Amino acid sequence: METVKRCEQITLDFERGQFQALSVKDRLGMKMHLGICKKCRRYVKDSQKLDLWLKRRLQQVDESIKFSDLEKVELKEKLSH
Amino acid sequence: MTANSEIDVSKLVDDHSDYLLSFAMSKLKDLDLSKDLVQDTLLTAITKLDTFEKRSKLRTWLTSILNRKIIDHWRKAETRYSDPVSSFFSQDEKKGHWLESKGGNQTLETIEDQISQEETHQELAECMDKLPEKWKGVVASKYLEEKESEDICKDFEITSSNLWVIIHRAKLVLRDCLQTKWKL
Repeated sequence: METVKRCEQITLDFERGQFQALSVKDRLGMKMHLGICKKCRRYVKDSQKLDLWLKRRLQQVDESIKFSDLEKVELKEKLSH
Repeated sequence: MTANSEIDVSKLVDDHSDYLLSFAMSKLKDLDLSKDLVQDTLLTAITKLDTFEKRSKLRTWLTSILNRKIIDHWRKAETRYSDPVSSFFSQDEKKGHWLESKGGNQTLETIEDQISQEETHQELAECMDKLPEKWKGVVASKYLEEKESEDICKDFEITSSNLWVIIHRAKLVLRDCLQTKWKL
């Protein structure tokens, strides 16, 4: 259970580190833990991959999505009242 | 531009509605909801036209109104949860298996050689649907707008530690979901 708690803290610290600078103690602790923990190394790798995919997926704007002509007519009517 | 005259409303819809719809869809991935929010945005714009400062572009102003409505949607959608991080994971945590992946030992990147980017995006979108609305909002604010953490916390009325926990948990849900889909 202790290891699980440690893994949770390390991976959470990893995410926190994306938003703010970690202390030297936290950085060293993470480095040492990642050196011996395969699960946490996998988490870090997956997390970085998800960062990339999420950014790519969310920033993709599909310009083919449009209101139909009929919807525009209805929209204009609603907005005019 | 006088408020609410027929011709202006018509021009407003013709010039901006499609752009606003694409913008909303890029965040919400829900066509009906996006259409509703665009209609609300245009309605707000017409009634508040006197507050529009001519210095900024009309489209920028409309987009900022829409953005606010999208954030409000996510915030309201989450009111049914008492805790912003919710008890979504408490059961797994009690078991102590939160970091155990459901699949084997392969990382997500191993799938990249096997399926197309479109498929990856499609499945990621399906997995994102499993997240609570507020988490979707937090994730969209971080990855779509690349907002600073203080701004995300302010928008969603959460503390900074809640923010890290939400991103952490959201990634675990997404990873589990993708691993299950891809049988990694």
